[in-house]
Amino acid sequence: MKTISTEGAMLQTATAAIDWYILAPVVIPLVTAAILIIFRRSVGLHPYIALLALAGNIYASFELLMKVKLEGPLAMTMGNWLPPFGISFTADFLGATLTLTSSLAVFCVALYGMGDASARERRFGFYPLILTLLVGVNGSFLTGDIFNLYVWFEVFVISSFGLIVLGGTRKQLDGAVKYCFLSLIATTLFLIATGYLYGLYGTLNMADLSKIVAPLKFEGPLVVVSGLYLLAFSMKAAAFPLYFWLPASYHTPKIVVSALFAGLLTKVGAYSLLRTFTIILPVAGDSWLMDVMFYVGVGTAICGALGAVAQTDLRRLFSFLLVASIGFMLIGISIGTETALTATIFYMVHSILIMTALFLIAGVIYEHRGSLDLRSLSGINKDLPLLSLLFLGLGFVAMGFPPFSGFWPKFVLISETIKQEAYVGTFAIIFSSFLSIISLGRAFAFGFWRPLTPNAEDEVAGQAKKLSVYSKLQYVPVLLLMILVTIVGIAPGFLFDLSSMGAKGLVDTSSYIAAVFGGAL
Amino acid sequence: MESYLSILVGLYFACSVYLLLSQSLVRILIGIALLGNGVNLLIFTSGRITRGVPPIIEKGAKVAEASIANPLPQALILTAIVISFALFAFVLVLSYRAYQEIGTDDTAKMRIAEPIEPSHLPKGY
Repeated sequence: MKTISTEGAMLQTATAAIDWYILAPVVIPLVTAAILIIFRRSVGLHPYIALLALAGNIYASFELLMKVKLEGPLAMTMGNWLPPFGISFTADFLGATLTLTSSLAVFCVALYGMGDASARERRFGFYPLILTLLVGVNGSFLTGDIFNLYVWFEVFVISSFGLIVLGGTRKQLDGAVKYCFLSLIATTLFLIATGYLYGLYGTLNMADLSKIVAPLKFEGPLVVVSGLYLLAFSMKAAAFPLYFWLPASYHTPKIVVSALFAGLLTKVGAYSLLRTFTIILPVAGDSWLMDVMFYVGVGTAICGALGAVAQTDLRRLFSFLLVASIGFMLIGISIGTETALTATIFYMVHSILIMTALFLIAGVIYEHRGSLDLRSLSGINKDLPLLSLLFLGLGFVAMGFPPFSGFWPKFVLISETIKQEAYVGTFAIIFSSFLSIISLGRAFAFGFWRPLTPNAEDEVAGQAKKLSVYSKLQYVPVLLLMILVTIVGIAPGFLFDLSSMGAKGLVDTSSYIAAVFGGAL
Repeated sequence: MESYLSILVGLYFACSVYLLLSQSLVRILIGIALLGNGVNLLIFTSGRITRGVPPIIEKGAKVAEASIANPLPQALILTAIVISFALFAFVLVLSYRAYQEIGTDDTAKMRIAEPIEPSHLPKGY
């Protein structure tokens, strides 16, 4: 029998305990979800256990981010198999920042769910599902293996399927059919691309792929693979012309669920594009494919904002604004300079927070008025001044007014498009922002400023009787998010540092590769 | 062998795209099932086909004596099969429920979430 040294392929000692830390943002919600399913009969406990775990998760993600800030990108490999053989989990600035942001957003959603998810919905797994959704999202942000990324995609996709049909009304089932089929096709396209990629290069490790692909020419099968990735992730991110499923479905589920989706899901698609066209396939990131992505981004930004102007349902209006925000990210990714990527990452964080907040405030409005239709919604300014002020504030954030968080990334992105002479992009961003000001301004004028219409009076009075203690509590997550985006807006330095370090790691991939391969390149 | 399988994969994808483009939910479902199977075959083929040598290593040895079939695609396909099966089961039930509630499986007539009649905001107040 031959004796073979396994030193090159396997870790000879156990994985260092500290390395397990990278897994914390995935393991904590996963274990908690399992615990909640065990306690499925005592649904009263669910929100408390979930909130406790999510608070722990925020802390763990923050610690991870600080550790990354101190030591640079971190990597761990599963089952002692060294990369590229084992699956490596890799936390760089981009992944760690987004993990923290999504944990914060899910915490707010869970807090809102305390008053919103009924005992029946909790029994059907509201809290376990939002936790497993977070598992999938955080896993996507932290994994360093592209097939593993596909698996995490499916984890959050199946959780979102469960959440979107929670309640099971006719409208919901109609929206769910479109959402589920399109998601399934998009992830299958992703799998097809991954199959080809494996066939071409024989590896699935992102850092390993980066090393192999970097010296190649952008031609032949690589074009097909890159194009398929662009198609699949754009579908998931709701980019022009494949965004129609989003406004068709996001206004149908429970409002708290659509807040969760709006905050996280499309951003994972945008994140995957960012990751694919910088680290995994660096050649494709410098090719004509980026021009395609640029015009896709321009189309997304303009069509999304145009759609928003045409809506009368507040949640559909927000859905279209969400589509427009994806356009900005695509423009940033396609320009691909370090400054543009910095702005994109900053904008992503901003977008996670603000989109969650916008849909949650729609929930508060619904709680008080029983409707989100701008044709009948009226008189909120007089009855509920705090709600009105919050909506105005969040509207300013979403439009990108200073001193809130939306201003800085848009400002940087616009100046970068001018510097790179991509004037179409400059126009798209400004025009789209202008349209979003019109649509949100109209929503405010009709829903808030307009005096209460006579035929809405009965409905409002009926709704006022249904209010409970929880209705006050529902302001809390919205306020939390509002405070967060204001802090980020007034003191953007911290997030800017993180984003620019994230962008630096994407432009110069050596630190990422070094982290995965333990410094020995 | 790989070429023949590639052509088969292409056929799978062509049929599935044709079905996905139809209006009937049932046809779309069959299209999705075909797409899932096509992908599995694709991954299998892209791992290169080696016949008759299963990837089994002698007890105690660290490497195989002769060249063996690539075991990784099989692991990938197993994962993909489980996932696509679960998701397919879900959308199957969902389609049935939607058919029960809405009374049609024609996607062009499923307009409850997005009503056809245009809605406008009043010009002023």
